[in-house]
Amino acid sequence: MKPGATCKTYTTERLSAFVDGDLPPAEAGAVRAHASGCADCTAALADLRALVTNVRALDVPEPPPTLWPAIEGALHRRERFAWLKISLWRPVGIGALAGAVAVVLVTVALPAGRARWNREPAAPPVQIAATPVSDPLLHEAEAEFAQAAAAYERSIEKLRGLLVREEARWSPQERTRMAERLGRLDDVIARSRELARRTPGDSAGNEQLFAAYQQKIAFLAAAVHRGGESGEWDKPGGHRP
Amino acid sequence: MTTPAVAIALASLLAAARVHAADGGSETLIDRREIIVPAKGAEVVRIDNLLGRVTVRGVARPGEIHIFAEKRASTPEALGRLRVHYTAFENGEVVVDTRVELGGRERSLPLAGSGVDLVVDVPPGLAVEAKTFGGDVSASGLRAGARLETTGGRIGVSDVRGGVITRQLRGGQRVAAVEGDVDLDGVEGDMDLRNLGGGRVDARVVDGTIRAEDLRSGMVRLVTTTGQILLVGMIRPGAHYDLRSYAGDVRVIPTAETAFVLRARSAKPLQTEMPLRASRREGDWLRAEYVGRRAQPRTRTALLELSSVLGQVNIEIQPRMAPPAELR
Repeated sequence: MKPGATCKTYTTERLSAFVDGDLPPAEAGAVRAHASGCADCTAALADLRALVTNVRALDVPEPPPTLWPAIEGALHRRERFAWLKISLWRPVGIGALAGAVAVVLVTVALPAGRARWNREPAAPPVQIAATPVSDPLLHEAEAEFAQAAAAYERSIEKLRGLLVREEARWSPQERTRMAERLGRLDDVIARSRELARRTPGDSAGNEQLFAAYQQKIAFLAAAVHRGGESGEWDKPGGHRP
Repeated sequence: MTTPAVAIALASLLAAARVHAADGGSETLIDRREIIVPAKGAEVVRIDNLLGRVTVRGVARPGEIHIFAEKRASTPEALGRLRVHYTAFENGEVVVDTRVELGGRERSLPLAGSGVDLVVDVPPGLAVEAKTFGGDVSASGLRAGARLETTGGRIGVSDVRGGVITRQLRGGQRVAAVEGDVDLDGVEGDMDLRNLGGGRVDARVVDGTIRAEDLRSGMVRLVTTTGQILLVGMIRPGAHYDLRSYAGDVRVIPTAETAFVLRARSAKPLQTEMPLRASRREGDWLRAEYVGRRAQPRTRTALLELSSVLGQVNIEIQPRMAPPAELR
């Protein structure tokens, strides 16, 4: 809850659970009714929602020629926030996540902290939500996610096919660099897919997977266009004659 | 702000219908409800419906948002697990979302056999953000812009003032009659743009054709990887058009006389019957100028950049070119 807030009706943890959809329907309705008339709780909920929005916004890539640096930065951030999202969000709540994000930001701002983050690329253990895997509605949801993932994969394959033509015109260094970057993106996709698989019924895992697909598609499409226009896709402004 | 309890009461008074509908031999249970959300002082409405379609309409009902929700499922048990929530915050944000109860939690998930379709009537001055998964999402009659996002649904926008932003995996997009900046992004599916008058139009799709007609923006950027691009309409004086396809053709059909500088590149020779002059090569690009037979001397020159790596660039003459409307 915001500093200075006086309403004690609901704890930050309960409000976090409300935003997460973790409250039983009756209690969620009570929170909703209370919040509409309580400035303190409205502000606290707005902060919690803004936090979610801000964390997701970190994934947005920039267009060329800064596309790759942006994606690379987003990958770093996603690895950090994916950990926060999955392991802290559900069990503890967004209120705790807000504190954790603040701690992370302070930590990352410090050189020593940054170095430590960079040395620890492996994702922390994922806590798996208790989910009724036999529920037919859950199977429906997972099938929908799988269909979307397949559509992303098809588009990626199509772009990879186009890129083969352009790669023949690149220098060995450019091909190596491209392969490295695609490998990084593939790694993030594999991690995200694993997270989604281990947390069935949690749309956040799939959102992260789809965001990773989108970044790979944006990168491949930019590479195809820029490679096709100059053969030097990686040089800023290289697509201009 | 009125409490949700009041709104819920209004909803139950207005309509609560459960009907059975035959659906190819299997029965579909449908539950329709109308919810009125007091929205006095509201500035933005966010609609998150992964369970079905979203239709947002700007309707002049000051201070009220009307939500028409249609739930459908094959069993009463599944129907009872679909929920529609709204929360009106004191900061002017109204959130409408749908969820399905799974394992004691309400989750925002897409479903194939069950779902919720929403029609939301909002005061036109509200900014709108709407998100679906497999369902179509559309917005019309808005006066403060819209952001629409879907994974597998179609996107439709018409009669909107303010910026329009779309994000889509597949399904196709139709965007018409927008007075505001337009930023469209899609992976798979055609885009149809008509009558856009904001400062900038930016449309990108990987696998789809972009057809644009009557764009009056100063900056028009249309990019597709495998599809074609077709631009029909007046070339606006002073505007910059950047049209690029990797594998498809790029066609421009000007309908009015406007002087422009052309930069074009394509795998096949440029096709045009227009009298270009001062043509010269700049690397892979051809640079030329079109003065126009009836173009007014004081109008600014437009810039057309047309590129097709594997296809063709074509500038066609409309049979009867009329002078630009503002020059008549």
